[in-house]
Amino acid sequence: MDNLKTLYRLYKQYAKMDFLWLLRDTKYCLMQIFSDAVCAFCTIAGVYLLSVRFGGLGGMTQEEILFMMSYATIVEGIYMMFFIGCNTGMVSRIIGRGQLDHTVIQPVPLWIQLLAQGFSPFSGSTILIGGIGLSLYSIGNMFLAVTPGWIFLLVLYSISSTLIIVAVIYILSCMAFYAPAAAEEIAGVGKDLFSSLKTYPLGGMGKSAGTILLTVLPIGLTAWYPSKLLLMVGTEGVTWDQALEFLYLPAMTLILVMTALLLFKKGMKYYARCGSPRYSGFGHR
Amino acid sequence: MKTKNKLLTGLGLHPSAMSSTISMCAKQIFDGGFPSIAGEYLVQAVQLIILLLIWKSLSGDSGAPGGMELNQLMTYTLMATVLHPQLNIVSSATSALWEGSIIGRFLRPVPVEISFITETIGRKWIPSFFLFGLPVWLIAPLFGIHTGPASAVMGIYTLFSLILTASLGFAIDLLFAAFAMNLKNGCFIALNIRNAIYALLSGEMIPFALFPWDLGSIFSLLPFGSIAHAPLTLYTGGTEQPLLIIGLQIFWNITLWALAIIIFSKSKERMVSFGG
Repeated sequence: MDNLKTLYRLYKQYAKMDFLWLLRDTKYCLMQIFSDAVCAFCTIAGVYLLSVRFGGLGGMTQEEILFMMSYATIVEGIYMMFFIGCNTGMVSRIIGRGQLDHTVIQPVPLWIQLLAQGFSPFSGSTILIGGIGLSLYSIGNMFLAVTPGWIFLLVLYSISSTLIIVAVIYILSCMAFYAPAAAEEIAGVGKDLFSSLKTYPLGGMGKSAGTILLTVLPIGLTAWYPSKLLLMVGTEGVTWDQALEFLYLPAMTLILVMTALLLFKKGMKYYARCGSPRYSGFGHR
Repeated sequence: MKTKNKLLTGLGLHPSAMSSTISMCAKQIFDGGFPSIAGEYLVQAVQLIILLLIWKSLSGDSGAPGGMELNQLMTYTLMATVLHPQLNIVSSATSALWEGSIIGRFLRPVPVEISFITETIGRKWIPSFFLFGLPVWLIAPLFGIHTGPASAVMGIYTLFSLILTASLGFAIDLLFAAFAMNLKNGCFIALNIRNAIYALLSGEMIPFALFPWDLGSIFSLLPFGSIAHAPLTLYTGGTEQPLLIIGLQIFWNITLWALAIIIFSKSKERMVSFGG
């Protein structure tokens, strides 16, 4: 309970600091917001234009693709708002540069710091707001039956998808414990994997490709699969015999998060024993 | 005296100075950082597979999507992946500005622009070609993808076009580096915007022929369109007017290089780097 209170207090502090950045360095903060908006637009525009041209893509209609884009934008938005600050979403940099030492000397558990440090509700919320706006438009466009249960599912799935991205990034980043210089930027690979590929509709790709993209490389779990299920609930409703399908995403999230935690703990043990070879007499790298 | 001058001024634009830089940078890939580079190749490979499967599913619906034969589309996407470093040139200019290491380039006896170009060739083009592009190109026929140009003539046009593409890519990179210099501490904003615009407007990921409302014709006239769309369209034989495409590339090269030289030299004087 105390830890949660600390986390809440830290969230407040980081929100305040982010707001102060907006006030003190308004020009750069606005430029950052503008660049996020341009990136989000360009990422979804290509696939959406394809769907407009062909009246749909990968087994989805044009409207469904738009909903999937909005879901992908919401997931990206949550990641940006909670994990983009202080490299907490690119944790291989923190590990590889020996900066974990800065966090382990703080009187706050490491997980709380990693959860709180990235919180940027003002400078990092553009994409999330855009995603919510786009999903409202897309829901209205398709006359989806939006019930409290559907909204709960949307929130649960969006958080799960974001956690999958974070978990994969953390799993890859654990390499930086053992090879700090070589793997310093490895988190970027995990981020790119999802940022550039999650907007593709994966239907009609064949069973083997689909299976790989929903298990080993869980790109499909960060937009396509959950949007498909949400659309199904919003249009046809669901029956109990489909429960397994609906539990797959939360279950995979749990597995990946647990794997990330396990590997991170193992890496931390190694770090405690060996430290970071990046420290030297003239600086950390 | 001659030797003394050589020691003080270095070799300047001498080919051996450039080839030494290229060779040193190409070897750096094994000094560390290889996992990240291998990861980049993995992302590119997955993107290639996803796009090929999408084109196949589109072709199943409409025969020749967007007027392009499936074979052409597959070759287009394959070559976009193989030639990715040449079609999407990102030199170390912006990251060097961020890190503060850019100052080292100003101390070298080689113009700073040449430094960036040779570093890019060594660090990105050579490793990517031998470790990823060439193997992918060689195994592609096993999956039924036609890897050669549409015809010998188109192959020659593509070669010219590719040289113009690389030149234009470096000009645009310098312009964005100049933009980054003006943004000072926000230089990564320039890089992010550039990457996002490239993905959509260069035609590297999605061929312009597949865009609706004739947007492709507009995009192909823009400078970004002369980068990836031009050589890939020529390679796949997707045009009946190859000289028009090359002419447009020459026009953008002249215009953007003139702009890049003026703007970059002015921006250099305003450069501030805090180090990262």
